Amino acid sequence: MRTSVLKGLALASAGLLATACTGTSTPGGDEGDGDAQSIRWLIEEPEDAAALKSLEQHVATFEKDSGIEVKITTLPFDTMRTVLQTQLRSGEGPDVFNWGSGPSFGGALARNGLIYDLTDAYEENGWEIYDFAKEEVTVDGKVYGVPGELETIGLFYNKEIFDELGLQAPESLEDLDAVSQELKSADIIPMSVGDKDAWPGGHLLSMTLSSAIGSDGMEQLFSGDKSWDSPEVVAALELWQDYNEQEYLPESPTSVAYETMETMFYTGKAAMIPTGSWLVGEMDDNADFEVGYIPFPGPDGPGIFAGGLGSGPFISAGTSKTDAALEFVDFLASPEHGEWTVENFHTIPPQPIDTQGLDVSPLLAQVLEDTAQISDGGDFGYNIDVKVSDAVNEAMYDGVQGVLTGQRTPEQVAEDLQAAAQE
Amino acid sequence: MKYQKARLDTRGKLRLTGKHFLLIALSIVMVFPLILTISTALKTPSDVKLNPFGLFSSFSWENITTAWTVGSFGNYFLNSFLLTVPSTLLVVVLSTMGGYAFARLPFPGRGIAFYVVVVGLLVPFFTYMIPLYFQLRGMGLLDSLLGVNLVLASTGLSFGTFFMRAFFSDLPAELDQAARVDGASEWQIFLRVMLPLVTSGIGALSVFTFLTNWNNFLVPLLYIPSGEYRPLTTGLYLFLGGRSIDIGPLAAGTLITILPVIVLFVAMQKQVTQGFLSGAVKG
Amino acid sequence: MTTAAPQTPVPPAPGPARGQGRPTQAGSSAVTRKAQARLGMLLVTPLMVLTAVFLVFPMANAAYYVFVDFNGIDPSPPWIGLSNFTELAQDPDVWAAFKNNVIWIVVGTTAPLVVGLAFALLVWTVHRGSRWYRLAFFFPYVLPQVAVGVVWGWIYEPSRGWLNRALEFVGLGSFTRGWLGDPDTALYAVLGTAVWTAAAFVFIIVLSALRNVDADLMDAARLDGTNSFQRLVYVIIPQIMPVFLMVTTITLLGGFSVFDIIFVMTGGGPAGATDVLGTYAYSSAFQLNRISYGTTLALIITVLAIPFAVMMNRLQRRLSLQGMGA
Repeated sequence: MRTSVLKGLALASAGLLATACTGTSTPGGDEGDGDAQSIRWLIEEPEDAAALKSLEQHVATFEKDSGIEVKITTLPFDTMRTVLQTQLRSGEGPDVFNWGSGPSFGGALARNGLIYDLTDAYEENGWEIYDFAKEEVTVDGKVYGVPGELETIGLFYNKEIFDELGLQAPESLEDLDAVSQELKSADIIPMSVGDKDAWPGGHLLSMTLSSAIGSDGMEQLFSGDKSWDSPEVVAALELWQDYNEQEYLPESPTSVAYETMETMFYTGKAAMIPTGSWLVGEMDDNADFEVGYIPFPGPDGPGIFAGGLGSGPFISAGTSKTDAALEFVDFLASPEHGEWTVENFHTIPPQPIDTQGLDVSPLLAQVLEDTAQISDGGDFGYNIDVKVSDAVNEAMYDGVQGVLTGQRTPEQVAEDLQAAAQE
Repeated sequence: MKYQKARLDTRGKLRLTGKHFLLIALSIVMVFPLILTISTALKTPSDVKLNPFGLFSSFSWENITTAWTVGSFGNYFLNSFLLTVPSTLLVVVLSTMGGYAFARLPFPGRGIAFYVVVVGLLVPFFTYMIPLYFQLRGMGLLDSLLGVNLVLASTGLSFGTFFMRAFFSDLPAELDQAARVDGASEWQIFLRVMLPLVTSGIGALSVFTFLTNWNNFLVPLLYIPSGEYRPLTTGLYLFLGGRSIDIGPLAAGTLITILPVIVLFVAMQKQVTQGFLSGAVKG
Repeated sequence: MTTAAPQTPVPPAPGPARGQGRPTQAGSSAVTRKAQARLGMLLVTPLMVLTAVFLVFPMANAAYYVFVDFNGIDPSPPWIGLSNFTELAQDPDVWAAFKNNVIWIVVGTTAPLVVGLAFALLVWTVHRGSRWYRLAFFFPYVLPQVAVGVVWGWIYEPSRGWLNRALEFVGLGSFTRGWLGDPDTALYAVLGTAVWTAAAFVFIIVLSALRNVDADLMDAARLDGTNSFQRLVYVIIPQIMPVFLMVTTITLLGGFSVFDIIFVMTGGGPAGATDVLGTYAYSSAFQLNRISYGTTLALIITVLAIPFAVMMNRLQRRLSLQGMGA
């Protein structure tokens, strides 16, 4: 379901791990508006209540140091989408809010003049954010927000099984095919794919497509310079159709829930799992074997990680407490906050992090390192669902499900995507 | 059932045993989903990971406590009451008042008023749920206990009024005439004479409305978009939709959601059944 | 109790207050009449206010939304006349959803009737343990649909679910599949769950109707040498017909506005294979922000259901009148 994706996005976003159970969330509550030392921070509602506690405690350190009170308000992603614009326009909105870092999220608000320009603040405070991440919150040369944490999507694999069977991590689609054949003959499901929830389908397409056409190709798709019904998109979809027919995937992948797909990997029933970095924490908790993480292979090479940004802080253009808001955003953009999210939420902050001395698992350390390499000029693909309209997303979720069940051909899906993109 | 007893010969007994056998088998099939929920909810977390649906293979309260605290089902539980109790009271009180008026009191505009109630009965909530969202937003009642309680109440009022009207209609006309001769006021007739005679109806309506509102999914899903006051039904749904969920706490959450319903149902089976039967019997 | 199955029992056929309870105009003085009118208006006022604000007003709004293109934000949406309707008629997804509604209505009405009637007949003829059986067969209906959907989702799971395991156990392993993810079976799998709850509803209503079946007639028929099937068709069913029709009406109308159970179990997937008008209306309105289009769809559902409601209601009234005359 769409909801799942949105909620999934929400979960992975660093700053928004808070929940409603503490009674701090008073949407629309404006008590203390007259107090310049009190700001309201609106974040997407997470699912994990335990994480809220730690976020609140973390924010409390800021409150203590700065003397600024931060009132945390939460809303589910779906709701925020409908009410955020209205709230910001009405002037009753939050002072600081976390929102998706892509052009269809923060960018859309910025173009409507609802967000405070942070270009100068970057200069003054010396925020060190990866350039490719900063681009996502840049509109017409002005930087409007601090990007949220990074999510990469790629292929996790079970190193133990690979070693036992003498397999190497695949570095091309050809390799992947060979590896999958080997695994299949060893009675192991090659790739754990579950698309019952529909949103994982978006990630499947994002991976194969990013690795096939690179970030340039993806950008052309988003800008409309490249058509969604072009042969590369069809080929990227055909790949999953083919894997399904070859039985590289579990039986009836559209019946497999995301949770089941995870379990298949943890229990060793499946040797690889194409999904995202948000699962790193759980991998460490649940897999009693060493896990490797590679980009999904491309047609002629190792391919690239695809990914996107979660939600990061923006300041409302209408706030009357710009200074306090800026001070708080400075806190959220600091490397210290980044390190804190690494340790507590196992997410990848949008700035370079020195993992030395941090309490991180080898897998997470590797993921952080890979990310740092991307910023050194490596290519980085896109997670489609955060870059396109709801209509395209719907077409994509339905389309991948349709391809996996044989209801639709890759060509039909590509046409649907193009039609939705033109709406 | 009289004829049955008279004819219990050997063949009949055999057939009866066979029937019981079949009935027991069928009732186990019917309650199986409940058994499965309890079994999964009471497993140890590690057992859930490996064998979520094997029946009663281990025992632990851990999933329940996880769902209650980390999964917020404790809050959802409380919220379910905050949404169900006031709305049920509202339905029962207003329906009893309205039912009495429609059944026994001639007043100007009764025809039109009654027509509106009929419309409320025939039009599904679906038809107007979308505009109602924006209306509530405009009224500032979105995301509020008050708003959702009023909506829940309004969806049950038409049925409640009908239901109570039928009870009041069945009371003999001599009752109020006698009371009137004794000098009772209209209020007194309603409260002292008539009301005590429909308590069984009120009981059935209360239980029925409580269950309906407790189980309602769409109203809180739509009109409590923020997390505050989220009840068990939508809480369970959102828990289910998470990017990464554990079946153990999910089963425990499911159990927490249905437990009050089952307790109420078993304890007040008569009232529950009567609520559902009312249409058939009274009509 | 549910949206998938009927929300509420159908109440007595609407009409003016019936015989006995009707206030006797002749015997009451003008003072009494005035007092009654005052109390009557007082008593219905809160009810009418709530109904007007939370039902009549949004309904009127729905009628307005249908003719504009409202996106949820724009306070003065553009008037587009009948465009929503023409688009709807040409939208293949609407027709696919409608087809699913039709399947849902046909299967979701007949199957619970048959199953519920069978259960009721079985329980009716036994004495001992009938309280337990009543509990066991009726309880699915009182459960919230979300919980039902969650648990049945597990039963339908491809690898670990009990349905596939049971099939393998009885040697029907070739029939195993991912029930909810296979477009050929998903709708019927969800329907299976809905039948489980709706049959419970039919069961309890029919069982109570059976208690009123004339035992003398049964005995007479038995003495005439009829078999049990003949007695069912010629003696029992005619006597419970009005109730049977009422139950049919409720399950049938529930089939038009089915939402909860599909929404929870498949979300309309895979790739729209289980979308019905209700889920399609929801996703149009709240996921794609096409408020007007979603409202139009929801309105269509109601309009489609009305003739059935009226027809069934008439049939039911005629039958119960005949029953009273006999």
